[in-house]
Amino acid sequence: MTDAFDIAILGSGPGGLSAAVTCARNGLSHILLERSAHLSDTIFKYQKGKVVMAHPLRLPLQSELAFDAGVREGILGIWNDRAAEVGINVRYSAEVVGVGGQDGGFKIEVKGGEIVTAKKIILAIGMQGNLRQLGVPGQDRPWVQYQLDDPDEYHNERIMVVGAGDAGIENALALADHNEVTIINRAPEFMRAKPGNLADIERACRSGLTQVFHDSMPIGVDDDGVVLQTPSGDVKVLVDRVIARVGAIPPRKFIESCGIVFPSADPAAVPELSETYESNVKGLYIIGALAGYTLIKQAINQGHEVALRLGGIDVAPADEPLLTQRFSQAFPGWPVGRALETLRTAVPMLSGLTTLQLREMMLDSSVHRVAAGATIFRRGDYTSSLFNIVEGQVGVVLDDKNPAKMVHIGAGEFFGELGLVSGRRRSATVVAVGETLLVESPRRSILRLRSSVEAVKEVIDETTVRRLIHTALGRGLPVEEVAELVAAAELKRYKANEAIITEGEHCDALYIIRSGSATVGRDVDGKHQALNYIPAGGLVGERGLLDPDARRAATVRAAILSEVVRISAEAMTAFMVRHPELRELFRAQMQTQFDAKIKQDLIGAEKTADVAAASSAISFLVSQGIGESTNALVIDESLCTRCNNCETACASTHGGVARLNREAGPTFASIHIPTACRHCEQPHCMSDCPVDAITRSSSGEVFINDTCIGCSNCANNCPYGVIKMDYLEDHTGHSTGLVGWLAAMLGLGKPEAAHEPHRKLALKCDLCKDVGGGPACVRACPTGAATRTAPDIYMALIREGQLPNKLGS
Amino acid sequence: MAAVPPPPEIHRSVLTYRRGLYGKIALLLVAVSILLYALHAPAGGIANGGTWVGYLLGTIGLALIVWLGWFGIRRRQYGPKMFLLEEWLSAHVYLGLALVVTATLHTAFRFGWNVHTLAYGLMVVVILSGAFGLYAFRRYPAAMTKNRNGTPYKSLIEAIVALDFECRELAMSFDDETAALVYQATCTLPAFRFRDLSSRERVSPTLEAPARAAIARLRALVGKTYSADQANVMPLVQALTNRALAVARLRRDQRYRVLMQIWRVIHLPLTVGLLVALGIHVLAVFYFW
Repeated sequence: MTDAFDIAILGSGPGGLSAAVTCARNGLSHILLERSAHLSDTIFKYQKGKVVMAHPLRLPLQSELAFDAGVREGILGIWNDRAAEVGINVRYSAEVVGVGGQDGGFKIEVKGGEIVTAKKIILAIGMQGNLRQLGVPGQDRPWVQYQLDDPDEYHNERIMVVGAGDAGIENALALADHNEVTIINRAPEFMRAKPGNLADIERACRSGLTQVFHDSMPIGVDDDGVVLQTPSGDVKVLVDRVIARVGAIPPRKFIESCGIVFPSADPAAVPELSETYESNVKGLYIIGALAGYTLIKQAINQGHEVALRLGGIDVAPADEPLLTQRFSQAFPGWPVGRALETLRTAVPMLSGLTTLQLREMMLDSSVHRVAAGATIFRRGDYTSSLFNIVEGQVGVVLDDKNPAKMVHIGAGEFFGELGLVSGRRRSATVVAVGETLLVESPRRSILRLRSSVEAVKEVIDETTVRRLIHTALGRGLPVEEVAELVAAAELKRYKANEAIITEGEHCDALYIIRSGSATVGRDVDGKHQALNYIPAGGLVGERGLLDPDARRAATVRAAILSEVVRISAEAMTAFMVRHPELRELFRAQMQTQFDAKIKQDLIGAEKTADVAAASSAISFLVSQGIGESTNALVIDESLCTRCNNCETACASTHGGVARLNREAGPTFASIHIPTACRHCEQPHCMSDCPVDAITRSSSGEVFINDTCIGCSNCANNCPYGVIKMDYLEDHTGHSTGLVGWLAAMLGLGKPEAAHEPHRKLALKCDLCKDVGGGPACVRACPTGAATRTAPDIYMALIREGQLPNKLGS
Repeated sequence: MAAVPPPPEIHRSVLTYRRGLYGKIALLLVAVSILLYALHAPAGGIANGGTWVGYLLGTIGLALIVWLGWFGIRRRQYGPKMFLLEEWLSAHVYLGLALVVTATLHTAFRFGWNVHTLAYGLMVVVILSGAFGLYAFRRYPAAMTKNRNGTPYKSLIEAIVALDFECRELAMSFDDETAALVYQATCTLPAFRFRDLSSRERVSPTLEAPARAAIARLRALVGKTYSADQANVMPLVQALTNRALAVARLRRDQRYRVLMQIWRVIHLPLTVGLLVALGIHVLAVFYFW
């Protein structure tokens, strides 16, 4: 045991450094333990010249550590200078391997055996974790590295890249121009990479630009090379440098070893913290990314706040003024604490939240005071937020023709969860009955909450199932009537292509699709041939309810990852005994289908080939993700003259950069799906945007707003590769058409774009929401080949034979 | 802001747009033109440009030509507009075809070596080139898709390059002369040939001279058991014929592309010429009133 301090700060990232600087400025006894040999390792390892943004812009900075948007070098320079100036007590190369003891006497074990004792701990180690090492003898030779900062530093070397994930492939490709590169892949082929990287590395390997060892791994590092285990025996490869990109070990294990509890096993879950960032371990405080705050500015503010409080100095959180403003309309003149308490008491969903979670949630949410009779949202809107009722009552309109007939939802309850879960349009219009006070929270914060607070997940799941059943089966009945069905219901998840119903099975249940979609068809020779497409909200398997001895006549498979509510046949039968009108409804629907089938059989008796072609076309669309889209661009190639006017139109209405690539993308018969946004029901791009720059408008467009920082997370997350990272030429959105062209011809040129730092931004289709008149690509198609619409319409067109699904055979 | 256009119906061609509404309008125009002409000149064909019917038909023709020419500008306007571009094209096609009748009646079949007939001639050529464009747009897109079979243009070329590599690799094991022939047969990417455009010249896979010569040499090896090259003969022949297939595929693709574009080379410049000639025609008519 060597030292004793009041405060030990683990990790010198923005949060930890801010805490240390605040301690030093206020003369608090502290020690900053940093694993690497310099401050702020994560930012240190950013690529050279990377622009670091200061988001969220509205949040004020409250710290002794200065921070503003700038390039990596500038920011690190300022921080290093500041740390030296105030004289922080930092120990480098001090990796903490264990924390013992308790409040007032923590024992921190540093790698190498040294123990540091401190009264309090601020844990600010971030989420980067430990880079996984090669795990072979010789792995710590100086020329074995785990990071590549600047590929241009290396010329004419023999470099081995170990690991064929995206990081490894990107490094290998970047180095290949000036070096002799070998890439080592543990799997028999490149599998784990993004499609773009995959194509590039395969091309590089084919052309001999890089050498590849598949199905291989290093087993030892010698003086001058690496011994590999390969399918054809051990091989020694001579190299000058090894770059190992074999992933990282997330820090969760270490954190749990300190006694900190996570509320769920979900990898996105963050530890529960008190209002003062204290964890369940008394005296141990968690800030920054580890606490769920991924932005630099938040971490800096927290470091300052926690350090000051530990020094006995009271401080208001940095978001206080923002919250005051947020509540100014609904609770004029109230202190923030009182408003938060009111919300917590009135809204059960918020009651289980810690004050920090509640503050964070309220920063993203808005509080509305709605006048009686006002419409909150309409059936068919694409809004995906959830509303909690604080005071008053709202009515859900069941029948648009008879708006007076509604189901009431009162204070403490929530609504809007169906659209949130399925990502589809609102299924009903909601109006305020009396004056109502509502908290509207965006989809993202609710999902975050759902993954970290178990109670919230349960209450949302339970309510969506109840309301889904009521909407699908009991419209017009009081909610209590469907209670027995709700009790008999279970929520099941199906992976894409998993069978929900199998042909020939006994009919034992009815299914309602809660999120995702399904295809109905037959399995022929092990291949699913889809004949019909059922979107979320739709029913499957109702036919079997009418005839207890019936067997399933078709196979139903999930088109994408889907959640389905299953209600047993017994419960349904009992329900239909009391509500024979439902049985009649099902029977009428079946008779309509029957008539349609007879008609089809009569007309197209010899057209069986067409049915097969239609089914292949539907399967093709589903396999290309059209099933999860809300609005997809499809080109009928039998009409497309390849004039590219669609791309030109897109570019000229969107700052000079086309958001679609007409030629790219798959083709089946003459149905071509260009690389263009599908505006997915559950947009993959929205899942990981650090600044929440991607939103879905009420009319359905998924678009990226001006706050994009160009981090390219969305582009990486999009499975269809439709988001481009590119420079925007003209930010104004004005037409650059003929006038611009003439101006350019006359040398007048375009005025310099007014917006500042020139960097790549994420660009994607916004369905021309700001241009008006519908998507420019479709409007500009001279031959009517381009269409942009919902998947069910495409499926219907294919079934009706309107969208050609085979070429003049 | 312009009104939002009606939601597009799905999948229809320019000719069937709005159930051929503009075709019907064009037919009406043709009928009215013929009726006027016939009423005014039952027998002798005296309803020339100088009569009131002539002026009327001329004015309609002039307005139509200016409006048809405006399509070139409208095509490049991408902001929100009242009508879809497809609607414009549908009207452009039908009314453009109707113009033949209206303008011909306006001439009262009197032609000569002057600027008036020049304007008429230019108009006819512009319309004929447009008619070919319509034909090309109806015919070649599907043919192109079929030929491509889901492959992007770049891959058509990459396939040839890959086969070139393969041919040369295989040729390494043969004598110098064979290898030289194979190199010659694979050293250039196929250039565009104008004769491919002719419909009589079906772009079918053909072996060009060096490939033919190489195959002839390889043929001589068949059946000779003593050669160590034996094993590579058939793969090389196969690779050479595959290359010919890939080249034919690329050529067909180029052919369709060019055919879908080439008529514009006439249609667009001659439209400008037509407008100039038309201007002179109108000025001349009024000057020599």
